[in-house]
Amino acid sequence: MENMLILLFCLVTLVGEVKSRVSSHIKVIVWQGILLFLIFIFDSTGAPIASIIFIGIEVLLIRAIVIPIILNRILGSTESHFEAEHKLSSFYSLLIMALLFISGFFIAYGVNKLFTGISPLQFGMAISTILMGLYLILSRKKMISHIMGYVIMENGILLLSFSLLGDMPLLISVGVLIDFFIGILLFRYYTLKIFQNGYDKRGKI
Amino acid sequence: MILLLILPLIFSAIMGIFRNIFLSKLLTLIFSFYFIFYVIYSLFHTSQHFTPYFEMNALSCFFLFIEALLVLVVTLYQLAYFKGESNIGDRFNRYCIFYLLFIFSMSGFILTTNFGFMWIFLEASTLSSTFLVDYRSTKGSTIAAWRYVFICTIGVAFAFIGIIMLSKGSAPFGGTLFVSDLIAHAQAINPLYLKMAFAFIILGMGTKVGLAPMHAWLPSAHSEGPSPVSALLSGTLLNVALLGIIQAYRILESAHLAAFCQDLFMIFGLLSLLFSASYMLNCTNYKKMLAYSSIENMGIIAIGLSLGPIGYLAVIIHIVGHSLSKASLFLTSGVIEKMYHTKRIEGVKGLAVRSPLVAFVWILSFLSLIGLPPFPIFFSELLLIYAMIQSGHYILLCVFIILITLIIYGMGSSVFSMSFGKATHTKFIFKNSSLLLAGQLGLLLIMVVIAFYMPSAIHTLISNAVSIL
Repeated sequence: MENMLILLFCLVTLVGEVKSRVSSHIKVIVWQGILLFLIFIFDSTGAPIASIIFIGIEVLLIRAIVIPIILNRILGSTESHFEAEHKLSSFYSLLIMALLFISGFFIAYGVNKLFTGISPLQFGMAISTILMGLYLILSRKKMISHIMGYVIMENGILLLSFSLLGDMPLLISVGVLIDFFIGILLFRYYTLKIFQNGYDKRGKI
Repeated sequence: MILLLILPLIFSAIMGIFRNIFLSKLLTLIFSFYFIFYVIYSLFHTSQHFTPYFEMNALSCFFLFIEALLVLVVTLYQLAYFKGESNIGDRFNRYCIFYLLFIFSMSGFILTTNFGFMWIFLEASTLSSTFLVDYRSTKGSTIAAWRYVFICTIGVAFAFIGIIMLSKGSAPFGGTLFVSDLIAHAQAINPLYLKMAFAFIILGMGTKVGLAPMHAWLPSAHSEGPSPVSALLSGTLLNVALLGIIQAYRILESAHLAAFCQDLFMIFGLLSLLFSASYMLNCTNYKKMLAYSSIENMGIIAIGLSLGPIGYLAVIIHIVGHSLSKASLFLTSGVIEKMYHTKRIEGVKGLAVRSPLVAFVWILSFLSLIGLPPFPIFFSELLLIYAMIQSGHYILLCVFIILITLIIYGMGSSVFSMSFGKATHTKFIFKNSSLLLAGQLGLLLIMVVIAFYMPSAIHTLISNAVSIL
């Protein structure tokens, strides 16, 4: 069941790529948030209650609800619902994303041989998601897509930390979450500022 | 130590509540003096603790000393720099708040003993300094701020993956992220985790250091931000991020994996020199030229680290020389920008005719940066060349000398073309501006003095910092 959730987590990113709307990537982020929480629940048998509550807040509230709302607001303010801004054609873009997804299995296979005490599939899919997020940043022109790529990458990093650590000390987790959240708010601030002041002459918003 | 971490937060809160320019200036000034006095006190009391998470040792004291010195100079400079600017009120108040938060995050990073906290402070330094870069809210500064925050945030996310790897590697010892624990258990940690951790950390924190090819944010952020901010970014922030990489390097060195790190240092160092040299030969903007020079100097430091123990003393001396010279150059570039209202090299001519003192500081700072004796960079580069010969890196030595010569030629031709020739029109009336040059002269004087007479406390500090490396 857990492996199914991990695969779904990575697959939803690929599904988002099939659709050409920017808004479909926001749905990807919502689904990733929900799936991350479920993976953590399966992963953390016997974890302290404080960690479960914190991850619940971090993943369900912040990553699956608050951040998608912020992204939707940016989308609404900048009126950029369509994705038509790939640097490559949609077909090649989808092909690259599919290759990145498959590479996750190879990474999992390699990791299984090299390391002990980690979940290879989770590790492989986490790296695959990080690479997909990075690809979204590099292959898109619009700022909103860059932010989405960053959030997807961060979700991949969280999955990686689940795979390797289970949970980090609470104090550090809180600091990391605050920094991540303020970062997203700053991205929103600058995207809107650039759009509202007309600094975006090449339609990158 | 607790005051050093808490005062900036309290002062920022007071500034946010009262929103008074005079109060903001006063509080930043009080903090700057407190900071330098505290660091001078720490020179004689280097072993201090505040909770297990913060510690003062010779290495942190060394980095903190440079930070405190530059903060004092920049704070005094900005009193005169922002004087007379229109609509300064709320904007300047906000500037002072983020200025103190930025200093807080850098000091926290230097003092912390835990990689988790290092990450938090590093990200906090990006978030707080973004508003400083965008102080003027022009098109250029806003886009530069966006680029800065986005690229650095992604870079720092990679560093986080490295920290996760470190924690996983130390799982048999409780998953500790404390530097001292990781060094103590380094040999028992799976080398693959350590190598992966270092690769991600140098990629992530190297983005903040400005190592090529992750340097894309640096030229625009340094050139679009106000000069005091550029001086702080270049003179302290780059060092701070470098300290994070050095701490990770110390762990791998204890695990006898230094060769792996040194290869990476050499690759990133040479790439940084190459990127800088290619820009310097065609530079058109003097603030961007200084930004690329920062990339170059971080590259030189990375090469120094790649040479092992012989290069460590050179690295420490180079950090001092670069931070002080570059701060002096950026602060002087602010004066030039005020005089000529342009950042274009072509637009500035006859500086020596218009203001001989500004030209004198500008040229002297440049000579200090390129390593003319008796400035520190002369000794650091001499030591580096010696280290390369000693370790048999003859090809590296040739490439290093060729690239450095190209960079000095490119930079020198711009600096001298700005300083001499027929003077172009300038609207700036240079009066009551001793504060705009006093700091730079002070920094240059310090560098000359320590070449001939180094106080024993500073000498001990540098020796101890090198021994920790």
